[in-house]
Amino acid sequence: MTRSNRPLNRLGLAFVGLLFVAVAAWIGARSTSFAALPDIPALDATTLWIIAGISVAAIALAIVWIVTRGRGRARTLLTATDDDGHGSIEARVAADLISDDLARVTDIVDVTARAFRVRGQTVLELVVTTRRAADVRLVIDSVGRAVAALDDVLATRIPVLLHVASGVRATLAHEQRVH
Amino acid sequence: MTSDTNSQRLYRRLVRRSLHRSRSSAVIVAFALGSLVLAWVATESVLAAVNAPALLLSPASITEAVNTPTMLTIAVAAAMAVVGVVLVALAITPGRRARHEIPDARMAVVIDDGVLAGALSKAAIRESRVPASRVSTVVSRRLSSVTITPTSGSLLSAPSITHAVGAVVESLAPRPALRVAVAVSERGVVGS
Repeated sequence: MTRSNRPLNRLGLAFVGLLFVAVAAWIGARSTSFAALPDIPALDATTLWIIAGISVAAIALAIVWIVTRGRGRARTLLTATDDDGHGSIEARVAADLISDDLARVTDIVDVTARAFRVRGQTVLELVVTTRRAADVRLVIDSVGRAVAALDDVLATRIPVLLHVASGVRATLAHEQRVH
Repeated sequence: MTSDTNSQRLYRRLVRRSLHRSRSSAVIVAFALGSLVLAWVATESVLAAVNAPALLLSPASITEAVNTPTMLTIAVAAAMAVVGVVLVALAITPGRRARHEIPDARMAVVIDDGVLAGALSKAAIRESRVPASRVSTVVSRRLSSVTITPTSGSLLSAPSITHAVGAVVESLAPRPALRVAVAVSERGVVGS
């Protein structure tokens, strides 16, 4: 649940893809003499420098693009200010509270929590890994109760995204027999 | 605008983004490979501009290869066309993940289809009383299909299993909605 600009990702992929297809089409057309395409003229030194410059600029853009993916993570879940100053709660604390609450639910193998800034709000993302044949209703209701307890502790309601996942650990964990 | 509709909009956004891929990994791979190629092009261009010997191919021989394509050039072009089509396909397909949304009053909830399939299998196992290894469930976007291999000689009632699985689906109300199809294999297996 990062803040990556998804339409821009689509645009980038489409642009690179179309560029590849265009070059391939040009070579294809040249080899079949199907369409009369002009020869690429011999490159002089100035043109070569321009090509090198454009390439370097494109590389810089690509690097900027790559490092700006996956932004939006936050460490702090909540900041509260009162007369005495202000305190903040880290996402890890919330994760520990929720994990403790869910420790007794046998269908749940693992709980991880991360905080994200989405649209100016901090969202708590909980990833709950379950056993293979888990009672999903029970899992969701248990997490709901743990979140309600967290609401009480924090005295506010943070937006929560719950992802019930089937992880590698889930497939390795032994199935609970129910008779 | 009230804070309630605000949080609903936030939750819709969270769910929508969870149900679709961000394509960030595809972009990173494509751009990283593209950058490598461009770095090579830039190096060859500079080397040619200062009349130094080429690393692999001089720009002059590259334009020559494009102007009068050889079999090798055409093979490279074909490979580029395949990669290009794949990238365009990645860009325009919906990029859905195998997940469903579960409506909840407090949280935005998404669930992997694998977990959903496990829950439906469990219901079918309870109802049919066959061993877990002989029940398999596949959950796709709008259909969950449960396949059960019965023990030889015992009769399984498909409608009652469908009812049991349907009850679980109903209690979760996944979005998009799931239809339940239960198939009991014609041939049973000997043993418990």
